[in-house]
Amino acid sequence: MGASAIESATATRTGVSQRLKTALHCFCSWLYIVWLIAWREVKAFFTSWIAYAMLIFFLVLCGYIFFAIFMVGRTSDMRYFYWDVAVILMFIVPMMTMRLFAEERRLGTLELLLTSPVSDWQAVLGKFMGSFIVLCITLSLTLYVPLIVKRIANPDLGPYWSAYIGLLLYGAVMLSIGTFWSATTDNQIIAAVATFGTLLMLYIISWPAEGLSGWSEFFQRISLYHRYKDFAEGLVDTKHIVFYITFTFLALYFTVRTVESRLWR
Amino acid sequence: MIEVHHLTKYYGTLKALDDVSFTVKRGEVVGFLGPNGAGKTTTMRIICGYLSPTDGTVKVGGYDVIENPIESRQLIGYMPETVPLYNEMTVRSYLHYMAAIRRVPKGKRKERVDYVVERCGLKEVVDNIIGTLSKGYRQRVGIAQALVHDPPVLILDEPTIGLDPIQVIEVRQLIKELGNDHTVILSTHILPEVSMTCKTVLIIHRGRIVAEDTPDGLERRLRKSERILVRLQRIPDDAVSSLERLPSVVRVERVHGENNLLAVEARPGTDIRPMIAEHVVNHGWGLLELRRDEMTLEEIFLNIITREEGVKV
Repeated sequence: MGASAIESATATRTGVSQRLKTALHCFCSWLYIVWLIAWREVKAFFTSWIAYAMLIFFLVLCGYIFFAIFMVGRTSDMRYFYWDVAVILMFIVPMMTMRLFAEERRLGTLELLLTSPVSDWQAVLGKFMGSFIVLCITLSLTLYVPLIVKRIANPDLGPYWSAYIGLLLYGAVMLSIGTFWSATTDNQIIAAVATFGTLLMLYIISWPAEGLSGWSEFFQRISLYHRYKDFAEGLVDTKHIVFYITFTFLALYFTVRTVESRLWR
Repeated sequence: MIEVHHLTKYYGTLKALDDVSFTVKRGEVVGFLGPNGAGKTTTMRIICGYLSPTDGTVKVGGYDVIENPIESRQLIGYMPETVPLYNEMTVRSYLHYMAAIRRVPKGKRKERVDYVVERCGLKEVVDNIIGTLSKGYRQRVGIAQALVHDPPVLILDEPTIGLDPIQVIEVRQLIKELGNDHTVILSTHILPEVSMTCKTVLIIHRGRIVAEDTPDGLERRLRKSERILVRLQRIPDDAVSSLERLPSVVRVERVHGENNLLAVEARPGTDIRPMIAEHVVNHGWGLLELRRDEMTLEEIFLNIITREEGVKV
C-alpha cells in the first residue's frame, strides 16, 4: 500500500516534470519560429537603401545635437540630448516599421507566411522583434556619447543607463504602433504617415496640460513622451515601465486582430 | 486526404462559393477548372487556412483547418497564383527559411533544400537573388518552396500562367511526376492542362461545382450522342438517306467546309463504326477515314456552363 503510494507519487512527479519539459520544448520551438521571422526581417531591412539613409540621418542629427550640447553648451548633463534622441526616433521609427506587413501584403508573400504552420501571434511578434533589433542597432550607434563624456567629464553613469532603458521602452511602444499601421494597409507610405501622425499626436498631447486645470494629469499620463522624460533624467519608475509594456502589447494585440481579420473579411 | 463539406463563402454580399463539397483521396491529382472569378482561388485559400469559410468545413489529413490550423497547414505545400517570393533573398536562403518556418528539423534542412533544388531544376540559379530570376525560374522556386517540407498535399494555383510554351511543358511534366507521391490540387482556366495532368476534374462555375469526373468520363458522360465522322472518296446523292436508314443512326449530315466528310450521329452507348464500315464498303463509296468525333474539354466546358446558365434562366 505504502510502496504503491510512493510509486504513484514518483510517477506523478516524473509525469509533471515530463510535462514541464514538453511544455518548455514547445515554447522554445514556438520562440524559434518568432526568431526566424525576426532575423529575416532584419536582414531584409538592411538590404534596402532606406536603412542606410535612415541611419545616416539619425547619426548626423545626433552628432550635431551632441556637439551643440557638449562642445558649445559645455555641460555633461545629457538629458536634453536623450530627450532629442527620442524626438528623432519619432521620425525614423515609421521607416523601420512601414514595410513589415505592408510590403508583404503588396508582394503577396504574407499569404505564404500565414499559410505556413505559423500562428498570427508568431508572425506579428516576429516582425515586431525584427524592428526592435533594428532599433537596438540604431541606438547602439549613440553609445559614443557616454564614452566620450566619461572620458572628459567623469559623470555619474546612472542617468545614461536609465535613458537607454527609457529609449528601448519608448521605442518599443512606437514600433508596436508602427507595426499596427503596417498591418492595416498594403501601402508603405500610408503606413509611415499614419504611424508618424499617431506618434506626433501622442507626443504633443501633453502640451495643453498646464492650461487645463484638472485635466493636466490625465494628458500627461497618456502622453508617451512625458513619461520618457523621467527616464532621461535618471528616474526608472515601475509605473512607467508597466505603462509602456502594456501599451506595446495592446498595440500588438490589435495588430494580431487586424492580421486575423483577413479570415472573416 | 482533403474533405470539403458544404463550403460557402461571402465577400460582403457577394457569394463567392456556394455549397461546395468534394473529397480528394491520397495520391490523387485533381484539377479545378473554371473561368476567372469562378471561386478556384477562394477554395484554395480556404483549404490553406488563409481565409475562413462563411459556412462549411474543410479537413486536411483529418485536421480541421479552422480548429487545428497549424497541424493542417503543416501537411500542405501551397503556391499562390502570383508566386510571391522575397525578392532580396537568394534562392538557397529563401528555401532554407521556408523549410525552417515549416518545422523541418535543422539537420534535415540542407538535404531537403538540395533535393527540391535538384527536383525543380534550380541548380544553376541557386545562389542568385530571387529578384533577378526569370518568370520560369520564379515559378519553379514557387513549386520548390511548396515542396520543401515534404508535404503530402500540394496546392498549386494556376501553376503555368504566364510561362512560355517550353516552360509550360516542363512545369506540367514536373506536376505529373509529383502526382506520383503527393496529393495535388491545381487550378487552371486552360483546358488542355487538366486533361494532361489530372486524374479528376472539378469544374467550378460561379462558386459552384457543376461537374466532377475523370477527363475521359466527363467526355463520355457529356456526349449526348455518339458522333462518327466518315470520309468517303465520293458521296452519291442517296448516301445520306441510305445511311440514315441504318439501325441506331439518328441523323446524317455533311460537315461544312470539309471535303466529302459526313457526320453520323447515333444513339448513345452503341458503337456503329463496324456497321458503317460494312455499309460503305458494300456500296463501293470508297472509305477513306472513319473515326469517332472526339469532344474536346473545351467543348465540354462550354457545354456544361451554357447548360447551367440554361437551368438558371
